[in-house]
Amino acid sequence: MTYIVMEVKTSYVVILDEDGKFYYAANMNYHVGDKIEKPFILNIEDKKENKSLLSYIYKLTPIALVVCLVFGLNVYNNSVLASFILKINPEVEIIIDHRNRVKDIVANNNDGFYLIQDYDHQQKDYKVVTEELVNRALELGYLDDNGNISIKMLTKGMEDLSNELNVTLDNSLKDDYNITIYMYDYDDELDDFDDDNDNDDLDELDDKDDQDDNDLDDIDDMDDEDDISNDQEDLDDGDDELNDIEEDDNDDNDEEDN
Amino acid sequence: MNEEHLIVKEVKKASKDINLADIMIRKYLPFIKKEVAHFINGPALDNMDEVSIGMIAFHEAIKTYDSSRGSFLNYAALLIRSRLIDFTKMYYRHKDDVSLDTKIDMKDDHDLTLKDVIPSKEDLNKEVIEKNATAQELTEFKHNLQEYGLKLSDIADNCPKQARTFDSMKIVFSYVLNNPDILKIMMNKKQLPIKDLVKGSGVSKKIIERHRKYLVAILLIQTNGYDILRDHIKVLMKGERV
Repeated sequence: MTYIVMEVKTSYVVILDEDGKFYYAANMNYHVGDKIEKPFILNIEDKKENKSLLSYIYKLTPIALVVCLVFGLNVYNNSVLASFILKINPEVEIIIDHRNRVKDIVANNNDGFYLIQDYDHQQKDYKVVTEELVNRALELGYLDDNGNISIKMLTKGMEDLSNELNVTLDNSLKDDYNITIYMYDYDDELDDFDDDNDNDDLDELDDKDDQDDNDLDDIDDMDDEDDISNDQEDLDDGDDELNDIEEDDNDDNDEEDN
Repeated sequence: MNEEHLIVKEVKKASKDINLADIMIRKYLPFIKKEVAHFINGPALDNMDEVSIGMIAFHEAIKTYDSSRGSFLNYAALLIRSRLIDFTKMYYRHKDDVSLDTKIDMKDDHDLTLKDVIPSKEDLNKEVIEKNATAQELTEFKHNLQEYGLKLSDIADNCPKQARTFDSMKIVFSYVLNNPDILKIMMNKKQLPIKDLVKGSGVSKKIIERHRKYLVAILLIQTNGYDILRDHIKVLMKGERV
């Protein structure tokens, strides 16, 4: 492809190719009328023609990516990372998100319910929440010196989290109390984790329920007895009548046989 | 800060007028030379190709700059370096071009090199004559364009860049070549007969109007007196006759 140099200026030349296209190119000491073969063309895209829908989409793509990333990160941060059970006497399950903040606390027994009543865990770190709940348990009398605290992870592979929690609680309690902390991993058997005292409490609660049930049963039984006696009287009357009929039938049959 | 603001204003004006850009580049030539010298690791002289590349890169910077790209001079420096890299690559791509001393034949123990078969003085004279004729024709062409209120830079700015638009232009040329009366009408009225072109070629009025300046230039070349230019763009016209 050859180009004719149409116009020469200090910083550029206008050239015409064999296709009839005009270009600006670098002026390598050219003169008007020169035929050149390898010009260095000034390549500028037409801005007007570039304003297509696609170009707008291209421009918006980074913004969309950032929005998705921020939104996605937010969703990720707020999603559940792990949960663990804090058992003193009150038993609560603490659920934490990817920012190690407590997402929710669920009471697993009545004392647990009283322990977390009116307690605000919003935007708090799981270690802070656990520490505060232990202190509340001490204040409310659920936990005393020489007491036990058990923590069981309900999510697999959370050893770091578990260790940090152990260290935090240990540092917090060692100066003032002689409380023992038992840490249980995800894989530990539930039997190991269950505390005998707790079972007794739960059993007592169950016994109470059973007793109540029995009392109710007694009342029901008493009502039933009255009903039964009345019914039996009625039934007895009915039976007598039936017996009479049967006896008559038997008499008739005997006569026929004879 | 204020100086940078003034440069941006200057760039804005220059981006709309290539002649203003040319003036601005002459003003900033020391800056361009400094960047080139830094790149080639030696002095940048006026007649060096690298300085020409630096200048055309500065044109590109003027045309494509917007404030979101930061400081103009930093942007220009970046483009100068980029284009010099492009130029260096292009240069190395052609470095294997055949030398004049290449032996092309071996007969009777005489080595025949390219130097022996390059054009003789007569040919060179012919070339000079042809070049002068072209220059003369171009001067006339520029003068003729002025009658239509146009400059060559207007034509270069108005030249279609998209292949589809260029195909539409070819359809218009084809129609004009088969209907030479259109050229007469254009020369008499000193303006492009847009209505006739739209009706005859079937190309949309919008496309023809948008590339009016370019069409005037190309159709002018088809009129008498521009044999060299017409011969040059024969590729454009070849095969387009219906």
